[in-house]
Amino acid sequence: MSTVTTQEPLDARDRVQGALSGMRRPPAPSALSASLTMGWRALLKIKHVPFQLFDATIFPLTSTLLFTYLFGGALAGSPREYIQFLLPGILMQSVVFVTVYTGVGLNTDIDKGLFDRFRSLPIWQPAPLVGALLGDGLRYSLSGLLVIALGLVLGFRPQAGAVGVLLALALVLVFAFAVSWIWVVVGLVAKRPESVMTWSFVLFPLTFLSNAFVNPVTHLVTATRALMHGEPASEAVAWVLVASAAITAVFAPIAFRLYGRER
Amino acid sequence: MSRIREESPGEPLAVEATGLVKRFGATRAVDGIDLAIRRGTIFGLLGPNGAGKTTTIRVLATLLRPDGGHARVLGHDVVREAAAVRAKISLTGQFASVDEDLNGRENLVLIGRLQGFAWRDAKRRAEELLEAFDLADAAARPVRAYSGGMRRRLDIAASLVVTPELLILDEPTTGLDPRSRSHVWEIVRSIAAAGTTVLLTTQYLEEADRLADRLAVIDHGRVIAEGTSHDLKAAVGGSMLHVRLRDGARTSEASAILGQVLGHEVHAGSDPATLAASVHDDAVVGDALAALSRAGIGIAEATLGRPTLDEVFFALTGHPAEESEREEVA
Repeated sequence: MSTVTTQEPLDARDRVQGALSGMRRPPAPSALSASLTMGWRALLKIKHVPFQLFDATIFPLTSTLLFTYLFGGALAGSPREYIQFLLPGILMQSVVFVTVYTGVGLNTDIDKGLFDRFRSLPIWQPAPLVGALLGDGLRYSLSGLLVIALGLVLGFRPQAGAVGVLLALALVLVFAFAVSWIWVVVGLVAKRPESVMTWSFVLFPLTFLSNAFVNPVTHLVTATRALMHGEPASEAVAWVLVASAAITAVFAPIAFRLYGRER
Repeated sequence: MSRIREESPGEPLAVEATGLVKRFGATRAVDGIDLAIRRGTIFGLLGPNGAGKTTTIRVLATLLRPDGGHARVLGHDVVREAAAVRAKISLTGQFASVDEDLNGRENLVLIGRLQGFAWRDAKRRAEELLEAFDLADAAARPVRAYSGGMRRRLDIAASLVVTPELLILDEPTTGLDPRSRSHVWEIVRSIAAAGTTVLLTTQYLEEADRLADRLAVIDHGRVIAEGTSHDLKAAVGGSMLHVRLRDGARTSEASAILGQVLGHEVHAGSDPATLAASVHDDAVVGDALAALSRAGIGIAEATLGRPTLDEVFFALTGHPAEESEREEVA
């Protein structure tokens, strides 16, 4: 057999072999450790590609400004009054919009073959899924805080103070986590990352425009507004928690089932 | 390069598959494949796109469940002992399966952590591999800025964070330029020389010929030939006669004459004015050439030699190796 002519230095072979004989295989990581490692990966992605975060928050931010100053006076007497009413809705909208990226990220991993690599590693198999959700939690919190910070600058004055705002944000996060299971399912089913986005154009208007008698989104906005302004909120909060539990109960098992499926 | 070793009893084969079947709906992507791969060798699965190569290795890597037949990898059943198989193998997929948003170092640390290394060890291992695969300078650059060759090297490095007993490479050089390709070949040889069994798929006959100790030719989900590239060439029959004509317009006439004298099918060579035919008895070659000159067909060049793997593939399947190459949308 003829030898391939190569410009590589002669020691290339030695170097590769040296790196091979390195360390022995450590014991397989625990489920927690594998999930946290995948969460670390999600953090790195936020660090390296922060656009994803802005992409989903800039639209709500600009619409906050637009609505407040354009329609604020007309609708509620003054922009300052209007933002008290508007901000909870914007908060919900921006965080729930970010959940799409859960599906997009997952689908990209499958598309690029990264999932094959993860699945052929000796790790707890759902770790990539759980780790991605950990990263998503941070993304949701960041976009929520961004909207609240801008609101405060624009004159948003929550009657219930910091505690009310944090409770409201926590409730939005609970709901966002529930919704992200839907996106996990879409991400696992969709053929391409772009089609996950297409799904969002179909699903979101349906959710937001729905006037059905149990629209969880309406309840979420009511609950968020009530928590922030110190009004009675328990009924709306209960509705949101029930809805979140129901969405999770339906979509999480489907997601795990699809995840274990062959591709 | 055929390093045929005596099979030592008791040592399980790296891969042992019998009657493997995998269906996708109505198509049988893998249709009864048998494989026996000895440890420490480089084994090539050769075939056109869609022949069932990738499906076969995905079954062996425990990513797909077979619908029929059995497979054992390093002594473990791929269905019942999938975790044990995963602990001993590494898979490098067809499209460099690395995270494009992360840099090279982070990709390797990530895999190191998922293999169970402590942070410090994972980082040390990443540096060793970056150094060994000529990626140290690019370690802090995002992978999306890497060239195809660099990406492929990082991909292979990620498969070696823990030295596997079996390394599976799916089309390791598809889409690479010649220089990157020979670099990857050198890496694969080094890995095998260090004792890791390598199973690779390829649609390049040259690659299979140069790298693999043994080959299985796959077409339509079946193994149609198996052996060393030497064996395969010999199986096609003695020699190949290549004739280049002075006048390209007379190829069909010449083809008929050669076929009649040699008693074998004659097919077109790589150039328009060339013909190729397998020859079992070298003695009739003189008669064949004489018949051409009697018919007034001028011969520019005639050579008698061993068949190339391309010709082997043609003889085995009835179609050229890269005919069914279709645009695969990544």
